[in-house]
Amino acid sequence: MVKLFAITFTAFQETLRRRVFYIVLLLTFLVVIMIGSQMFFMRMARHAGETQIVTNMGVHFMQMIVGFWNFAALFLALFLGGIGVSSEISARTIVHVMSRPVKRWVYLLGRWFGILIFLYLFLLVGMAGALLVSVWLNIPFASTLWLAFAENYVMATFYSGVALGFSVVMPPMLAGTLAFLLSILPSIAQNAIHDPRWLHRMPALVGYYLGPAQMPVKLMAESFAKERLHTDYWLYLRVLGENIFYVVAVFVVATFFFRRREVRVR
Amino acid sequence: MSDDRDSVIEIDGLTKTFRSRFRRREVCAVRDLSLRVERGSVVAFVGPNGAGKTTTIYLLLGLLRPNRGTVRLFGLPAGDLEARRRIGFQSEIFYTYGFKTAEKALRFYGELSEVPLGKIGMEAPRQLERLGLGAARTRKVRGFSKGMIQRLGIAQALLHQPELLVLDEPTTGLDPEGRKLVAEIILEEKARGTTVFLSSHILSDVERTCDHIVILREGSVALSENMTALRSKSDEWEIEVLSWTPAALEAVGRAEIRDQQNGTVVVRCAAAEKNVLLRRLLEADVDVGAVRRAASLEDLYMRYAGGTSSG
Repeated sequence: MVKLFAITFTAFQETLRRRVFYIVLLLTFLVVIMIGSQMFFMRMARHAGETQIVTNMGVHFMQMIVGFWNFAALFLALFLGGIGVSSEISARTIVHVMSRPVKRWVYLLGRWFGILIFLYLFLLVGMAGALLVSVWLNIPFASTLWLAFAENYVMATFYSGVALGFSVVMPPMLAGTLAFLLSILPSIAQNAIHDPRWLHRMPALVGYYLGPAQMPVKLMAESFAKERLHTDYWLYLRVLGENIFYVVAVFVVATFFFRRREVRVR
Repeated sequence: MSDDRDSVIEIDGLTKTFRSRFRRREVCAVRDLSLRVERGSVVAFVGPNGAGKTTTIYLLLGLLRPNRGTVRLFGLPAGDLEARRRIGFQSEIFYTYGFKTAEKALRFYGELSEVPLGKIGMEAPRQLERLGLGAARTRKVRGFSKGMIQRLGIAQALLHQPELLVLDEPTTGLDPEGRKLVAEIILEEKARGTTVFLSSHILSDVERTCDHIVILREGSVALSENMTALRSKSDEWEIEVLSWTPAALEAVGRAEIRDQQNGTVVVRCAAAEKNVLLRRLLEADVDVGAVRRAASLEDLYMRYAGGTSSG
């Protein structure tokens, strides 16, 4: 446990110091500021008593800001997951870790947890910001918002875990790209799964079930200024659970391969 | 070197090959290497660059897997958790996290080596003081000089008081003072009963600290010799005889005749016999060209390692 914590904390510290984080953060802030600056018009609309316009614009801005923040988080998840192990190999810091009595799975899990803590904090900041703006602009949000936030956390876990798992057997950039392609595979395959031609249907079915479970609705987009009727919380929770199970399975397989992998530094 | 019961390191027929990208070319880094290192000894592992020293060390640590042969540490397979628990390792250049302070870095490595937190708190400052880094213990590693990083690398290897110390060129980047300190630490660790496996290019350090020398060439053992035996060999003298005559042959007697080139003969004898032999040769009116000490460690190294060292 001490070793896991030590590796996790070090991975977290390392992630905090990555240049890519600051670049993404800067870009995200720029976009948020650009979108936020348009709120000037909302004040005018409020003075004019156009409350419906204020709400509509607020929801629109909110969705854009939250969407961009999540996009940044998912990009970071893919990138950080992909380089989670390879960065240690290229920096050669792995040698003095793996030459100690550290089990491979503990090392891999520690690296992943370090990245996850960082991503969760990043998402937490976005979540807190979204809630504050929502209160400030009097934008009502639905009870599904919490599930929408949970979905973001699950997707960050999924992207980082799958990218990290793939990076054990392939180059980091390829691992990140594959993890992303895997996540969109069901959407691509969805149109062909009912195709009468088996040659089209079979690969589509494989692709559909190979990817992670898909949420039936866009929870984040649906959570502001509207309340869904007959919300199937159980279904949403099941999708999130399946995706967590998926990433855990990928991680276990990755650990199996990582145990057999040589630590070659150049 | 010794029987198996006392062996800390047992390497048998070890072979490691690397394939280049896209598997076009195969490079044999270690070839049929066999070696025993006995408990409490200090073994020097020397050889030119590319001889396979670091690869052998990585195989010892279980970071690489052999193609053939076996590596056992403390009777356990290389890479076994229990074996790794008992090893302290420092690589040629100590690569660590620049954002950690020296003390935090040692704490991290101590935790990984299963040292209790209370002991890390006592041992880390002690090791830093021992290696002359006491004043820099709260400084971030990224601000360290190369020599300071190397010293920190040695400190982390010693932190958990390992039974086997594997040092891969520990004096790289160190000033003479630092080199002296490392040599002293090796001798201190030896006195404590630690087995030291030292890969080095600095033959004077090897001569000073080691009990046994293994010279590696192209992945194979070219020479494995006890330092005492080696020292006794290097305590021989060579007399260069320029005119080889029957009188000279008679004067030489039973002394060893080594080289014969262009009429010049080199006669080798023990230090105690040198003066007698020289007197006999001069009395026989033999033309003596030079009197010199026979092979030093450097000569041996050049002979067995092929003289391709860059270090």
